[in-house]
Amino acid sequence: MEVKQFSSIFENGVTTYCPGCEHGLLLKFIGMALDELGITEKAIMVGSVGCSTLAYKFLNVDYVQAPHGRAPAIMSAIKLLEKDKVVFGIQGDGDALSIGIAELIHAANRGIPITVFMYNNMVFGMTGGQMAPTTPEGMKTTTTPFGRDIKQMGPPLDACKILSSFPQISYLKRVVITPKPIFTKDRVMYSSKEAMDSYKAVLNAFKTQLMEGFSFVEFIGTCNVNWKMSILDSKKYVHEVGVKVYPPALCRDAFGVEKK
Amino acid sequence: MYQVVHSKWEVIINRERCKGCEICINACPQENLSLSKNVNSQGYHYVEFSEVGKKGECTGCKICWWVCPEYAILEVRRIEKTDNGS
Amino acid sequence: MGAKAIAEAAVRSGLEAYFGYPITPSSEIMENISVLYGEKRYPWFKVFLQSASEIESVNMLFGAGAAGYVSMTATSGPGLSLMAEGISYAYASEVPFLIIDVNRGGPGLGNVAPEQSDISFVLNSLGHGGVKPIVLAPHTVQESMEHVHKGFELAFTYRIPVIMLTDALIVHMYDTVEWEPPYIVKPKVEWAARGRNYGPRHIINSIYLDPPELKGNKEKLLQKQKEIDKIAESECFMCYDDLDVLYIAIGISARISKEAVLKLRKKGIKAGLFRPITLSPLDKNSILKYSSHAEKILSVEMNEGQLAQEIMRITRKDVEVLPYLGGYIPDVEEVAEAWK
Repeated sequence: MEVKQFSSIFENGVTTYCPGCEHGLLLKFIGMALDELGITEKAIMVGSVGCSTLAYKFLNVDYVQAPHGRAPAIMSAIKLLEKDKVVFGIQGDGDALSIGIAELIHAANRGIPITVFMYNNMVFGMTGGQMAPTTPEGMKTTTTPFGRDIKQMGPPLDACKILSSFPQISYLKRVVITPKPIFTKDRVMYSSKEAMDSYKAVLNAFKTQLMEGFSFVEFIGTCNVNWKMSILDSKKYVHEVGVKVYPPALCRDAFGVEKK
Repeated sequence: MYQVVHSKWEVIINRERCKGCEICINACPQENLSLSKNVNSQGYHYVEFSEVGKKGECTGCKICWWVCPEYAILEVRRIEKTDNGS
Repeated sequence: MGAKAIAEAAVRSGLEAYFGYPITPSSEIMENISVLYGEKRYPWFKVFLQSASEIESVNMLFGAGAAGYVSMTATSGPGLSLMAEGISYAYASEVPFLIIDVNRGGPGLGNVAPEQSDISFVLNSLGHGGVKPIVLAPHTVQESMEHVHKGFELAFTYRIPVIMLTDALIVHMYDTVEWEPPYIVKPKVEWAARGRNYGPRHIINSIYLDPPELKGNKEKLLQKQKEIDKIAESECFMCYDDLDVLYIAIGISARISKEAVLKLRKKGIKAGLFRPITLSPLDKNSILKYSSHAEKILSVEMNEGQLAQEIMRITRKDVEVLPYLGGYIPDVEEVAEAWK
């Protein structure tokens, strides 16, 4: 019996992420959604700088490598010229909210029908765990060895709050992609609800683009290596601290794709 | 004459993709998954599936498939074995 | 006006997307292009967009180029500095587009008067990691029109960013032109990222993590550079015989120097003008040929001597500089007098 394959995922593609990182989960869901909607052949992926750069080794779609933070500008240009194609990008929190916030905000304000997936792991992952604008208060990183000081650095940036003020965004959602650890009497288990919700969010984001709307989904995930935690501890941290700083919410659904 | 259909499930794993993060091992309610003693070409201990776990047979709940971040668990599928009783 | 001529030439040549950010003295090009957008005569002109910064402009050019569309922008020194990042990425990923640099006074905010002080920046350091785009240097309004057309063709033939180096004077000058720009000859863009469409995927990429891969890519780019060297073009005005003085200039100072050369010739002084038409690649053979017969080489430029440095590097001869700084324009009498 043959194993079912997704046409958008390489048969022998191996992700470049550390064990336990949910970035790979996001790529898997993007591949699945592209297949389910039958848009693999007309999809163009724009990669940003960070851990998402090497996504092209996993997803078998057209790929343009953007400079650090500039992916939304490139996506906008491609979409304006190739109106019937599906253009999406994966950005990290450092890429989208630190260096590239201007490009993200202006693309969102114009409402060009593109899809931005933001994987928020609250640190700069690829450069080795420095503080990001999204780092929660008190979190220790390599550049904040005594924890993030809110008086000096300000509170963590909330992408959904910023973007919800733009009227031309059609789909704006924040989900937790990290499986929730469940502590039973004798062992730890993981729930699959978060993963299922994340997949739905990916699917709805693409559906919104097909209906000519700008979509943005923020995924709260882990970076256990740079947080210097075990896989289990990092998952616990997201569900204990992360969801308080970044509560999952559906901020905008102009076309009602959630209900369908 | 009657027919008994034993529904069994199997988990297809791509060993080369697996990085041994053990999320699926913890997630499996029946404890059908375990870490192999061998390593793959990346140097990771990969996950192995056994039909009968510590708490019983695989029920095909697909939780392992949903939580695997590497897409190493390719598919959870049904194998049907038909017994012709007498 | 120069800006209007450039706008007309660009759109008639087949401009498909314009992304720009206003900056004096280049804004007139953008304004003149914006009125042509949406005209039925130009069905190929698909997108006109004012971006939020030069950084966004250059990345939108990158996106349009990566999808295989003819795109351009016009900017000035401070904007070009911001675009350096994107140009470096585009050079590495072989993405074609055209940038018109309307040179203003620098460094810093400087002023908005014409200068030629971006020469070294454009030729030697436009982006990190060793970037060498094609650089064109027109000296009249008519030639700027031709160079826009040529710039599009070169960009797509060699898959490389092209810079047209001009100055505030040419772009704001009224001049007679006589040229109907034909639609460009655009090669097929099978490499463009427009979706897989049941074929192989297209990758526009500048990351090569393994040293052998990056080495391979750099060697490929260098090989391409050798091909590009063959298109080097230059003009030598009145270079008939052994010269008493060989003027060297580009852009508006070349046009003024031509007058000075004519003046000197009337007096019986053997003067000539060497004018690179493509600044990068520089026409090395011609400059070596003409400079070897000249008593004196004199570079007339509106900066501290950036072009002279480039010429000295090739000829290994002393090149005198007649500098005009801060937005002053060369004077014909002064240039002619300087031959002694």
